[in-house]
Amino acid sequence: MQIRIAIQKNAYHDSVALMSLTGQINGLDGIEEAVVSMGTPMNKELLANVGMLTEEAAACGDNDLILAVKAESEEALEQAFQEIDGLLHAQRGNKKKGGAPVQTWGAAVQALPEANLAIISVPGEYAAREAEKALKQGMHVMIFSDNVTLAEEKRVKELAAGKGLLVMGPDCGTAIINGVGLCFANEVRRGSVGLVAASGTGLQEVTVQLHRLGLGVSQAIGTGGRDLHEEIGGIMMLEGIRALQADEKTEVIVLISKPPHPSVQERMLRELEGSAKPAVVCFLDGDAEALREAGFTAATTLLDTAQLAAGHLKAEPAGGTGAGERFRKLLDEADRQRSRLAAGQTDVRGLFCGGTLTAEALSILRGEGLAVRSNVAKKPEEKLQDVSVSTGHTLLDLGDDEFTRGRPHPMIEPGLRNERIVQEGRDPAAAVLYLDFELGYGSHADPAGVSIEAIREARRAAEAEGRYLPVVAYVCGTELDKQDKASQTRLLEEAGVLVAESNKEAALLAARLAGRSIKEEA
Amino acid sequence: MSEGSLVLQATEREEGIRLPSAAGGRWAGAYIHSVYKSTINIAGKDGQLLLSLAVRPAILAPGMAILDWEGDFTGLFSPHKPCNQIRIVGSSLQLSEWLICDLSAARLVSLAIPGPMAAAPPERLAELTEALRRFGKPGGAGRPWLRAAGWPAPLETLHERALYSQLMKLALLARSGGERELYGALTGFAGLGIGLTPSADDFITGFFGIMLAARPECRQWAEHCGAGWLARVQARTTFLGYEMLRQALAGKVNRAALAVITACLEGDGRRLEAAACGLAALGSTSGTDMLAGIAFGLDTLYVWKRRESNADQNCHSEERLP
Repeated sequence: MQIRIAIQKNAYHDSVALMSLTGQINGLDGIEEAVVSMGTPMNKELLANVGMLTEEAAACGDNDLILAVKAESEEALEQAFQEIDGLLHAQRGNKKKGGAPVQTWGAAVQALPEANLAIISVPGEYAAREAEKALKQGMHVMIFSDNVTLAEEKRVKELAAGKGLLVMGPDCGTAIINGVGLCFANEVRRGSVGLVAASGTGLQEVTVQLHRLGLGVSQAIGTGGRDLHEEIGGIMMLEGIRALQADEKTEVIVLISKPPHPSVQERMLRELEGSAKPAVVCFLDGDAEALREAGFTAATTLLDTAQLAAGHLKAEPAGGTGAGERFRKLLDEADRQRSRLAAGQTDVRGLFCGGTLTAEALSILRGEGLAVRSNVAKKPEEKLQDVSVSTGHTLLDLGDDEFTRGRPHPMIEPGLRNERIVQEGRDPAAAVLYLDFELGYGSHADPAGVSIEAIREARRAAEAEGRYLPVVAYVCGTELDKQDKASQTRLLEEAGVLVAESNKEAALLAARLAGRSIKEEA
Repeated sequence: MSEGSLVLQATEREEGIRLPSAAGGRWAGAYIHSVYKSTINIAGKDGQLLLSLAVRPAILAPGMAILDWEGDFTGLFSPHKPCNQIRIVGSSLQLSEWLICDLSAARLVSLAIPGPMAAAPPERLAELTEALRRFGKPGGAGRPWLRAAGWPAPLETLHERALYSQLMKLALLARSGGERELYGALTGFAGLGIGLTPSADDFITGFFGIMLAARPECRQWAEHCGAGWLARVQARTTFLGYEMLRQALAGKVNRAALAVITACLEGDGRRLEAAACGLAALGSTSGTDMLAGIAFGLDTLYVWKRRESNADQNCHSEERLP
């Protein structure tokens, strides 16, 4: 009979998890006894009584978890411990290998000496200090925290630049480094397009569209939304460009941001002029025409950005660019649904989880001649005064501070916008509901599922007053994402929602439902 | 992406919790001790448990505050890892960049065990045993207690067999030994079983809960000897097991256990059945273990009552298990 003991120091698991684990291991072939319990003296005595107390187990503490298995063979033991490992990691919701929790920075470095990237998520006032520690140890840094002052941001970024390191953030929510998605990122193919972005959902959308086009991502570097402010000077956007220029797997460089400060934009463009690699620039809502005239490949939408990058790689679109038969059918369906609208139904009502997707939709709808109001608008005439009531064509970023104060971000809990979906359904002016659903790491496990009932409720409310309410949605994700894009899409389609393949497509469908002829049919 | 902060309001809190602003130094260096499906435990720099934050359907327990949150708790709390430092903002706890828990408006709830209460009628033990049979979960002290009480309950795991052996010893000691001897012997039982509050600790909590409610002698013992007893137990069980026992000896148990204890001593069979069902739902086996502990306490109370009555009549004889 073979016995093996494993100890997890200061391991915290629900009793339910431990009971389930014990039951499952005891049910495996060749297992005589499995005991999973805390290392209290009584539990050790129990192990001793059945001849399973090793020196290691005897030495462990009350708050350590003992995993003890007695089996017929070494093979059965091996299988049992593989099973234990899998079950414990699954229960933690973390299928990747991870170390034991550590309490200090020094212990973390010691536990993982080969690490070269630190992710910092601590209260903002401490974030810069922790970032500096990491930089001084030669690590790149991703700062998820916000509430870091501009002065601190500049200080850590200058420190990093001096060392040839990256600081992604503060308030950086998305990155893909060496194929690993960090924070809110989608699971996409690896490839030859390198991205630097000062925009979370913008980076998500372009990486997702690249994946749809059959391409892949070498690196996707987030800089944090303020990097292109005059005070910071685009330090990390520049470092990101340089890193991608030096990265042998990157063949095309993509820049995504809201329009930078002119002096910062100048620096970015100068850097790109000297680049040996082709680049695509997407300064959303910026002057793309001027960039083109200056000889740059400039895009006005996130979908165009991905397509232009594909063009540089001479890649044939792998379908679904929005220009094909599928999109025409969607437009036809939109026309059919528009014919069912009542006289007063005129307005687009966009309820978004993604901030950059809201900004992109605003830009596209404006381009289609609609006078839109939004809480993320920069132009005073487009700024929505009262976010609680939609007026005319309205696009709301429900992830903005005014909505998330006291609530989680809607990408984590998209159900929070459900109330507003129903509210818009009751509004006789609403001609179309326009929704986005983000998939990927960090996002809700079933974003469409938690909203379906609200969509139906909104429609019932409209129907009760003799109106038909079209709904347009975009699911930002890939088939590799844990939420499964196909089933999320199916769920929406079964509820009668027109599901677009990009945010641009969705915006154009919404414009069509609001009576626009669509200048550019995607 | 700017996420803002989620401020969760506590709707109720156990009255013994000291708010951060009023507690001064104890909250300095407070950190997340552990994170479970519906609970986060906060400990102070000295390692003592300061507070447990939970959401429904968690049952209010000593040192706990219940937060007003109807959404997905697991998703909300999973980013919060043990050892993370927390910040104090007024009377609120900032668990992370985006999550703040405000305790200031919570309704205060007493979980103090009332007492001394009237003796329970004999049928309560039979009713409680029946509830344990119907609602109890396997793997902890439930089936071992039923077996010790004469029911043909199977003992399938190593822990169940060990718990049975210990419970038999305790039941015999209750019949032959003195009150202080029995309480003292429980230190050797603590720490046995699966889970962060091992089954034995839950069992002892239920036992002391009913004993403190019914016997002034137990309260006196807890007052005079409780600290020493706890010091011995601390070296024998987990952090959370010790904290639960510390609260129990201070006269506090969770709301579901309190409901069973009061139903035993002043309620009727129907009320006891509903309360027992509620307690059995607690945790994987914790509630069942507490039910078993309460049943052991009731049994012990009857044994001692008879013994004391017999002693009065000068005809002491050894009692049998029910």
